[in-house]
Amino acid sequence: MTTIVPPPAPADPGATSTDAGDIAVEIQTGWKLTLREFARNKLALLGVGILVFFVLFCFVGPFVYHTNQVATNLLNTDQPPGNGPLGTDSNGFDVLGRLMLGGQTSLEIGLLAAVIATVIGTLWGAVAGLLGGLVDAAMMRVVDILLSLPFLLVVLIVAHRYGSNVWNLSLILGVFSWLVPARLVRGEVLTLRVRDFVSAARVMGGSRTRLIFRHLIPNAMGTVIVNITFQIADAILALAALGFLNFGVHYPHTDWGSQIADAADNLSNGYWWLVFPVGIALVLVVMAFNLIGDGLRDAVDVRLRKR
Amino acid sequence: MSRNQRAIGGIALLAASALALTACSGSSSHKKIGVGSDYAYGTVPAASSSVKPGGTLNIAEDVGADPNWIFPVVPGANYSVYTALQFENLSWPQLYAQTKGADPEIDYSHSLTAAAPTVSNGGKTFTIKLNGQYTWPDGSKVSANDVLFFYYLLKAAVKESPANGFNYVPGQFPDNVTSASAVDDQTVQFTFDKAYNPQWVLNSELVQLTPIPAKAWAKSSDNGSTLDFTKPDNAKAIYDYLSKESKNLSTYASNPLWQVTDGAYKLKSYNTSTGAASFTANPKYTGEGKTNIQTVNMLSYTSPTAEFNDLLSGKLDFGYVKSDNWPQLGRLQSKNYVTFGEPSFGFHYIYFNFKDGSNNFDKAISQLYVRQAFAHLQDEQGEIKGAFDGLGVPQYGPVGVAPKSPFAPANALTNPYPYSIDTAKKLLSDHGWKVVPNGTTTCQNPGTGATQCGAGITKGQSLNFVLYYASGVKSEEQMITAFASQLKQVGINANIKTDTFNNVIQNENVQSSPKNDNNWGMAAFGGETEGDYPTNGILFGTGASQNQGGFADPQIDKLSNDSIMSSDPQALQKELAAETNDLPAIFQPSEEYIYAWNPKLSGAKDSFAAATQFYLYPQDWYFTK
Repeated sequence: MTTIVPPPAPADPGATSTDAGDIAVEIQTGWKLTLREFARNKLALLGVGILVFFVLFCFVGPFVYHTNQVATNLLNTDQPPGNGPLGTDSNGFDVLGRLMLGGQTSLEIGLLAAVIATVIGTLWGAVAGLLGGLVDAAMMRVVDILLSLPFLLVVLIVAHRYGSNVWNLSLILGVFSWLVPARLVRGEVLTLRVRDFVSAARVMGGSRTRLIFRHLIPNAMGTVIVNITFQIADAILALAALGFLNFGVHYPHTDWGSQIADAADNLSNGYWWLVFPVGIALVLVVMAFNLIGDGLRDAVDVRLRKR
Repeated sequence: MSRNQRAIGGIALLAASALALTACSGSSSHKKIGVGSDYAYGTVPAASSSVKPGGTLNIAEDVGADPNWIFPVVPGANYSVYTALQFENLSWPQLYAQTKGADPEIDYSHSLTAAAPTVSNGGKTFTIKLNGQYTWPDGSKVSANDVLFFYYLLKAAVKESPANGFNYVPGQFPDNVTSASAVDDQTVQFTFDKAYNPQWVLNSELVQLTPIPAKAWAKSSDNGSTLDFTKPDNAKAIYDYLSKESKNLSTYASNPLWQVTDGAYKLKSYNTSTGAASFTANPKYTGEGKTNIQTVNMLSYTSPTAEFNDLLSGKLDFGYVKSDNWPQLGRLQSKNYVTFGEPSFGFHYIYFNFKDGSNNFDKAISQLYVRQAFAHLQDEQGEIKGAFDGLGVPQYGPVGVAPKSPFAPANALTNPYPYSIDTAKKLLSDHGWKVVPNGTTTCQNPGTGATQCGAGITKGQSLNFVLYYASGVKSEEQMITAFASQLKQVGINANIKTDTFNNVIQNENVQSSPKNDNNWGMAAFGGETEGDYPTNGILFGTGASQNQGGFADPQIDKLSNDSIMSSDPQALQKELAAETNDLPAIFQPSEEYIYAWNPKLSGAKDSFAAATQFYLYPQDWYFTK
């Protein structure tokens, strides 16, 4: 019987050439199974479709649909569709073009923040899980303490102190979002560290660093990948909250949260073109990441696969 | 239910909610409104004779400008018209009310004196006769001693720190008073060191006085004995004590000090988190008007739209309508709410930080041509149309186009720096800058020659800077964004940051927060109100307490001094003309201050008009039957 440890394990450079060849076969099988399972999930594919659409919309769209998103036009503010496909906002910017620009920021910050959070969380969880004992207890209490802090409040204070640009916001959101991945990875590592291949690596003199980077993290990658999709969605929503509260990026940049804040100001004025497009875009992108995450989780977890 | 189904369910709910919210909102008709040639919006109805005594009046505090100081000697960092005129003034009215309706003239009916002071001793001595109409809770009249008490505490305050007096200019009041004395119980006399312009003395110096209860407050601890406040050490101890008590927001409503009032209302409760306050009618009030309304609640808001929604729902009886909600003025009018607005007498501006050493920005803006380039990038007409829906008035200097001042110079009535990106580019390129539109403009020809960048500016230096503005008002955000957009077109990158109104006036202030000097290059919190004699030494004079940006120009100092010392009205015009030309700040158009009130709320027309100049007189108001 062949047992594939979920998720599919990457090659172990420390293994013998024969072993490596066997594992490579296993990996191919594992990825195929994962992809096949993922492809069967229609909602996950819908998520991918939506995401691809918005990536193209935000990053390729401006090359097709040219608008001036730098010079304001106060003589043409808050105009309904007809003055541009989706009208203009309170600064006279074309709303469709603004949506593309804001989407770029939201996707970039979402991805960057998720990567930062995942890297920190994965390392923290792996170290805590591998070392165990007092070190594990101390590290996880740090996580518990940080989890007890109100996330948004802390992020607001730091964002206000250090200013709002793409890099700062990515860093701020990432640095305060690594706690959940840390817990997840620690849980994975706690089960992995007692496995034979880890014991074997230990016996062969593998250092802790090697164990973490060559054996534990690669084998926890399924959990990490699934989590990263949810992290992106959460970061985009957190950014939207920051933008809504006026702590998002400022001119000449914009983000969907700031646009929603502008929309909220105009909700009762009846300027629907400022409300729906950005609201729908945000909901769809977050939904897409969640659908993809759900699909990936079902695909990499053998217990959730349809047999 | 699986996670996917939950997600889709949630999305459907969100979409439905959004649709419902929008469906509930007003029409999407998009029309621009405007004002008449007099720049007034609407009219105030005549007072009704159908008085219904009692009731609770709910009025709105301005967004982010919650009152945070109760003692009438107000430090610069805590001063705002909202704190002074809409919070403290209810309990301790100023000696002189500085606006009559919306007009820039003293309203003696709301003052504690019936007429202008008499001038004697070659123009040096000013004698003020109190009207004897106002009393303290023990029944004693507000006296000359109470006026002197304020004077001595102000003197102690500014001696301790210039920042302790919001109106303080070194060498001026109270420094320039050589003697102050009570002629009798109701007459107080100030003798100045020189003969000044009497209008300036009245409208800039004596208007700072607010009688405060000497008998109750002249002590240095809760249970301390009464001190002789004319002695400097005692005055300092009293000031320190009262100032400390004023910092203790949580005791505002319970501290017996703040219950000793001569105003129409006294504080009943104060929310330290929001700044919301509730006042109850002073049963022993003997001053102008009658406290028909028993309770005045000042409600706090975090956004103009939240406040507007309370106006629409009827929760507020009197509130402002900010530009965010001007497209919906018709909704209030359809509910028979009265809507009225006028621009305030004063000006709005984005002030430079002449002490911002980061990136040598201070050196760059010390060059007049750089400030002129900035001014040419201010599109006032566009801002009035786009940000104010036409409900605004141009402002090219410290006095605006409206309300009209007899002292307005010609260059304050026609734009000396009309909007022109090309002119701004030319000014920079003629002085050694390589202008890179939408990039970064840099100095290529440093030096002090006529075609060089100017003293202290280095080769390769940019004009990039940090621009702060007070958040919460959509029109301000629109104007700041538009200004940053115009700057960008000549390669100047403004790094925009926002903060609350109170934080901007405290932190982006070289007087109160010098530690922040290198953290900001320009800032905007709104604007200033002017006195009837609008000299601006306090705002632009070297070292003045309200000189938030640290502007320093000996020529302006001299002209301000001339405005004060000379009785020639041309002197003030020359000062105003120079300030308009020299650009200590970028002057912004002023919006109309529009208020809406319950149709059942009535009172003297002037008292409602005064609200556009930030004076609140609920003692002149009443509900109708």
